[in-house]
Amino acid sequence: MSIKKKVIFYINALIRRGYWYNNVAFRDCRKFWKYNTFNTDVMNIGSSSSVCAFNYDGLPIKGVNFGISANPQCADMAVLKNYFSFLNPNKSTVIIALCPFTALSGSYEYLQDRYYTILTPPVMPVFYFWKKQEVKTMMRNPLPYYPLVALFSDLWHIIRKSSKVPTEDQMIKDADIKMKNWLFEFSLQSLSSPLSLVNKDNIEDAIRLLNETILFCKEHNIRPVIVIPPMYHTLSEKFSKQDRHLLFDSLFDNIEDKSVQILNYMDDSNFSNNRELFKDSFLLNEKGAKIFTKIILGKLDLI
Amino acid sequence: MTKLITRNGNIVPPVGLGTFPFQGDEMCEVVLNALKIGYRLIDTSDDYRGESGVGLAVDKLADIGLNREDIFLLTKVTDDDSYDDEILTGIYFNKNSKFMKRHSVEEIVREKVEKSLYEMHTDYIDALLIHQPYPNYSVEIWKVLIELKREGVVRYIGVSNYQERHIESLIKETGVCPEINESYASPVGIKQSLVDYCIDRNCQFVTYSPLMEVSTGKITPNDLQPIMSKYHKSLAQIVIRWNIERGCIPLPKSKKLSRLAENFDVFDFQLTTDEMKMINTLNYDYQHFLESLMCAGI
Repeated sequence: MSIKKKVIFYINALIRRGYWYNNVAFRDCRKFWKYNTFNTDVMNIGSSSSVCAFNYDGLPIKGVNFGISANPQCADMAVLKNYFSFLNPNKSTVIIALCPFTALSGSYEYLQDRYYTILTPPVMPVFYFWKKQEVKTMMRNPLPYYPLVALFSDLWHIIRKSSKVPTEDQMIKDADIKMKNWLFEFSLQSLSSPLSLVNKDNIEDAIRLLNETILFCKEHNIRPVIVIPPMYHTLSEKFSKQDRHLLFDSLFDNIEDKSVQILNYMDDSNFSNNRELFKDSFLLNEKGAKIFTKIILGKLDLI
Repeated sequence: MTKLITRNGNIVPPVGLGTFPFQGDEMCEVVLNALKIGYRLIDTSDDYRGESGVGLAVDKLADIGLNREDIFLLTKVTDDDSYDDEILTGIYFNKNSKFMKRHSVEEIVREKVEKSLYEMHTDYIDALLIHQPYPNYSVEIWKVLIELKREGVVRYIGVSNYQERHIESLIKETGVCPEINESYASPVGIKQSLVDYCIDRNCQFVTYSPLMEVSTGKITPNDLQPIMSKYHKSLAQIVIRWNIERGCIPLPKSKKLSRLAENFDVFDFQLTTDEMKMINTLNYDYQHFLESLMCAGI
C-alpha cells in the first residue's frame, strides 16, 4: 500500500470512529451493522424515545435496542421485517415504543440516506439504486464526504468528559422548545385547534401501520407490547387530557387486536420528577434507561 | 425420500457441486473437473453470474464423454439478477417497485427462465427453485413453476431457504409440494425439524455451503477426531457423509481438483447411528445468515 493510500486509510478509520460519522451521517446504524445474536428474547423499536429508553446491558436476557432516532413509523415496520430473524422463534417480545407525536407521523415515508445501510430494497418505500451506491461508498470511504466543520464537533466530543444533570430551568426551556418544534413539524398552531386533512390522513396511516406491525408480530409468534416511555414533568404537563386523547387514544382505540398490552409510563412518578434520570425533558439518560428497562422487563415477566 | 434422476434415468449421486462465485472460464473448468470425478448435480442460480460459465461447460460435455442428459443442472429464480451491486437490485418481487406494477409474475419468471436456458446452452432445466420465500410473491412464482414443469421446460421444481410454514403455504394454495428444498444446515445448526418435514413429504433436502463451518473453524478436527481416525477420512469428508446419512444432498464447493475429488470420495464408508448422534451433539442451532435480511418479512 502506498503512503498516500495508507494515510487515507487511517483518516477514514478515524472518521469512522468519530461523532459525525456515528451520530450524524450514520446515526444509530452501527448497532445494526454489528449485531449478530440469534435467539434474542426482546427487541425494542421506535424513534428517539425508544433509542434512549432501553438499555439491556447487565440484564439476564438477550435484548437489543433497534430504535432509531428521528424514525418515521414506516421504518419501525421495515426494521422489524428485516431483523426479526434475530428473535427467538419460540418466544420473543417486540416492544413498540411510541413518541407523543407518533400518531401524526404515519404518512411520513421519506427515509434518510442512512437507512440504505441497514434496510433492504423491498422494505423501503422508495428505493433508488444509485443513492444506495452513493451511501454505501460514503460508509466505506467517508473522507470525501466529511464536512470540515464536523472536525470541531468530533474534537468537542473527544474532550467532553461527561454530561451534567440538567437544571429545572433547562428542563422548562427544553420542554418549550420541544413542543414548539413538534408543532412546527406537524403543521399545528396548537394541539387544541382542529386537525387539518393532512393530519387526519396521518392518523389514519399511523393506525394502519400500527395494526400491520402487531399483525406481523402475531403471525411470526412474537408478542407485541406497546410502551410509552417516561418524560420529565415539564414536558408531560404540556399534554392536556384532550391532547392525550388525540395523540394516544386515537391509536389505541383503533388497535384491532385488543389483547396487545399497552404500558404507559409517560407520567410515572418514579421518573417524571427525577432529573438525574434524563438527558433532557424528553429522553432518558443511560441510568434512566437501565432502570426503566428493568421495570418494563419485570412487568412483562421477562426477568 | 425421492431420488433425483438425470434425464437419461440415472440416479444423481448424493453429492453435488456448489458453484458460487465461479464465473466464465473458471466456472467451466470447475464444472468439467467435477463431472470427470463423478459429480452430476451442478448448483447455480440466476443471480450468481455463473450460468454462462455452466453453459461453456455444457458445450464441452462431449469432450469428457458425457451429454446433457447425463448431468443435472439446478438453478434458481431470484429477486435480482446478480449481486448487491447491480442496478436490478430491488426491481423484482418487490411490491414497491414500479416494474412489478407493469409486469406480471408469470411474465418475469418466464423471462428469467428463458435467460437461464440461453445462458446455460440448454433447452430444459433439471431443477428450478425459488431462491427465497419472497413475501407476497412466493405462491404466484410457485404457480408459474408448476406450469413450467407441466410444459416440460423444467423437470423438478422446488424451493430454497424455505421453512416449514413457507412450504405449507405453497401446498395450501396449490396442492403441490416442492420436490427439493435447498437450505443451509451443518452439524452446528442441524435444522432437524425442517429436514424431517422435508423427508416426510418426499422433498429432497439439499444443503448449500455444507463445509462453511469447517472452513470458519466452528467445527474442528478435535470435535470429530475418533470418527476421522476410524475411517481414515478428513473432517470435510465426515461432514459430507453426515449430510448423506441424514438424507440430504450436500453441495460442497471447491475449485481445487484434489478437494473436488476428496469431497466426492465419501461412498466407501457409512457412519453408525452412534456416530451420527455424536456429530449431532455439536448442534447449537447456529445460523449463518440473518434470513429476514436476505428476504425481508419472510
